[in-house]
Amino acid sequence: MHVLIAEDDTFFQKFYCNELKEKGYETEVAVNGIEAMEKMRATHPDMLILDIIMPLKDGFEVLTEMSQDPALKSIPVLVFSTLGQEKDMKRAMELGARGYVNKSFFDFDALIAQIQQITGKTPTPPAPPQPSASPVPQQQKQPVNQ
Amino acid sequence: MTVDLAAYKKLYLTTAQELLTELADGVADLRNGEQAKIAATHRAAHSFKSQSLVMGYTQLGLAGRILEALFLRIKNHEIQPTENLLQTVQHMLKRMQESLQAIQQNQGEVNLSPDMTAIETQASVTLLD
Repeated sequence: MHVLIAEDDTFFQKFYCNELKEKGYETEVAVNGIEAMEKMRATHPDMLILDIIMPLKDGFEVLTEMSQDPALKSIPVLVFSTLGQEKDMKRAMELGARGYVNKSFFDFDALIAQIQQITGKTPTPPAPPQPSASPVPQQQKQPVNQ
Repeated sequence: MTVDLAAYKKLYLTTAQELLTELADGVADLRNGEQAKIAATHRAAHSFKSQSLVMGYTQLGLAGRILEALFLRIKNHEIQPTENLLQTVQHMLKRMQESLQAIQQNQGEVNLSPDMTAIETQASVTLLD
């Protein structure tokens, strides 16, 4: 399952990509709103996780453009929220976001539950590491000097 | 499932430091009467706030929140930053730097409440803005 993360902050790009990949999600990052639109048109992700405050084109502009594009309006969007952005969340929901993820007080289980509930899809969990095929050679015991 | 935040501490200290540098540069520009990069300075405060809060560094997160609210008001021309205010902000940035250094040494955060209160009073911004 393919998730596009539109986020200009390097820390959160790595944070969300690492944690989602561990759960089996395929992730992609867009560093601003313009790149988010380009990548959505190119790859049509299963879900967009969208930051509001980004350079060049912010999250509100992305939501507005998506709602006007028949090819993109069906992509579900979760918006990042943080302390002080309560009014922004209301506006984002009015523009078509399906829900929001609290960035400041992170609850990963809640994020996964939202993604699964909104998309109706579950990712393929990553394969567990395989044990080594060739046996480790046994060391010959040396006689202990008496 | 809980996330192992300790695994992100080194990344946080690197990115938070970069953002503090950006904030300091932004404040220096404002002191020179330049507001061209105010949008970027506001975003830096926003990012600093969010990263600090998710890592559990509440003082730093709230300081970031105050700066985010302040820079937004400056960006929207709702307030004109005075020299006094900018000096107070620079002082808080220095304390935030000390806090990052303390965290790196596995010590607790520095108390930033007096600086936050000073900025709230001087600029009429609050954590709830």
